[in-house]
Amino acid sequence: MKTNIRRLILKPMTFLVALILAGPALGQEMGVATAGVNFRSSPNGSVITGVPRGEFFKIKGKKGNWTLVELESGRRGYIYSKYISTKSPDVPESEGGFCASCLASRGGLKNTSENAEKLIEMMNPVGGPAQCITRSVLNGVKSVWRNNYGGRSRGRGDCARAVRKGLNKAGVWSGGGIGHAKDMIPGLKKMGFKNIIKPGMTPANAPKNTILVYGAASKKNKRFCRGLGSTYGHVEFKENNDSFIYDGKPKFNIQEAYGASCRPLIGVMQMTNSCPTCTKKLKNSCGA
Amino acid sequence: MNSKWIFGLIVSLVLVGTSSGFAQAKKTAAAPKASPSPSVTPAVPAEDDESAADEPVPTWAQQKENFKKLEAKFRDKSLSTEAKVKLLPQSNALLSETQDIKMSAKEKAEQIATVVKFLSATIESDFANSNTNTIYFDYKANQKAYDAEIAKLSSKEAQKKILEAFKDWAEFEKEAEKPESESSDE
Repeated sequence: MKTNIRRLILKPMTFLVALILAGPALGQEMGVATAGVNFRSSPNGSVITGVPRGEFFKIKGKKGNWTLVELESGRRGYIYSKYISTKSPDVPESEGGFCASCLASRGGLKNTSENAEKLIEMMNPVGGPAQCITRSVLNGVKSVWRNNYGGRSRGRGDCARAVRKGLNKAGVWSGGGIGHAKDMIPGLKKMGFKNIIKPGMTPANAPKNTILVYGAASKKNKRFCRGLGSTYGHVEFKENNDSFIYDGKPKFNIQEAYGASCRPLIGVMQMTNSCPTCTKKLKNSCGA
Repeated sequence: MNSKWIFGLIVSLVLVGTSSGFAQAKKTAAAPKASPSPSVTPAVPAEDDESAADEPVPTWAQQKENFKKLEAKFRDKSLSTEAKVKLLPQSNALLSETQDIKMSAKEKAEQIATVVKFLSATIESDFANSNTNTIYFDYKANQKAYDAEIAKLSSKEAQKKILEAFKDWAEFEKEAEKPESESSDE
C-alpha cells in the first residue's frame, strides 16, 4: 500500500520536474532564412558559409542589426537580421516540396546526408536499361578523365567538355556542343536524362551515378561569388560521395569549395530507360 | 532504482526538447511525397538573395585582419585536408568581397601582397583552384603587380601552382567566349 502511494505521488512529480527542465529547450526561439544569407563569425566579420533560403536555426541573441544564431550543426554565428523570420516558410505540397532531413527524422533515421541519399535513391529507383546505360556513362567519363586529362585529381576549368566527351565515349551522345555547364540540362534531357531535383536536394544527398549541374550565381550574390565559374556554372558526374568526375576527380563536390549560393544546384540528371540519342550498339547491349 | 529512473527521464526529456525545436520547425515545412518522383519543374536558384546588397562593406583594415586569421587556419598543420576544405567557401567569400572595397593605391598594393600570400596558403587544399578563380578578374586587371608578388613567394611549388591555375583560367575564359563547335567529340 505504502509503495503504491509513493508511486502515485512520485511519478507525476517526476514528469512535472522533467517538463519544467525541458521547458526552455522546447520553447527555444527558431528562425528561418528568408533569403540566401551569409553566416559570419561576428557582426560584419568574415563569412563562414552561406545559409540557403529556408534553412532553420536557433536564435541566440541580437547585436544591433545582426542576430546571433546557432545552426543545426551547433555552429554559432551572425546573420543580418533583416533576412530572418521567426515564422516557418509556407511551402505548398503542390510544389512537390521535399525535405530530406524531415524524412530522416520522421523515419527515425539519423539525420545524415548518407541516410538522406539512401532515401532519395529509394524514391528514384534505377533499373533495367537505365542502370546499364548509366554504367556505360560512368565508364565513359572515367575513361576520358584518365586518358584525356591524365587522371588528375584537380579540375582546371574543362568540366563541360569533359562530361560531354564522357557521354560521347559512352555512346550516349554523338553530337557536338550542348552549351556551358549551366546550360546543359536541355541537352541532357534530349539524351534521355531526367532532372530529379527537388527542393532540399544537395550534392551530398543526391543519388550516386547522376550528373550534377550547377547554375550561375544570382546577380545579387555577385559580391561574394566572383570568378568565371559563377558565370558559366559547373557540371560533374557524381560517382559517390568520395568521387566527383569531370576533367578532375576530386573527393569533394564543387559546392564544398564555393558554397551553395555561388554554385546553386539546378540539375540532378538521372538516366531513364529511353535513350533516344544512344548508339544502336549501346541500346542493344542494354536492352533499351 | 527510483533516482536512476528519474535521472534518465529528465535527461531524455531535455534531449528531446532540444532536438524538437528543429524537428518542430521542419514539420511545418513541405512534406515529402510517398510516390516516386513525378515530373516537376527543376528548382531555379532564388533570384531574391538580397543579403549581400544590404550588408555593409568592410574596410580594408578589417578585411586584412580576416585574411590573416583565415590564412593561419590554412597553415595550421594539425588541421586535416577535409577541415581545410570546409574553410574554402569562407576563403572565396573573403576574396570576392575584398574586390568591392574602395582603397588607395598603397592599400591596393598591400591587398595584392596579402592575397598572394593567402593563395600560397590555400593552394594545396583548394581541390577546385577556386581561390584563383574567384580572384581571377582582379589578377587580370593587375597582372603585373600580382606576378611580382607571386615571384616573391619562398615556395617555388606554390608559385608554380598559382601561376598555372591563373593560366588555366585565362584559357578557360578564351574557350568560353568562342561559339560552340558542332563537330563530334572524339
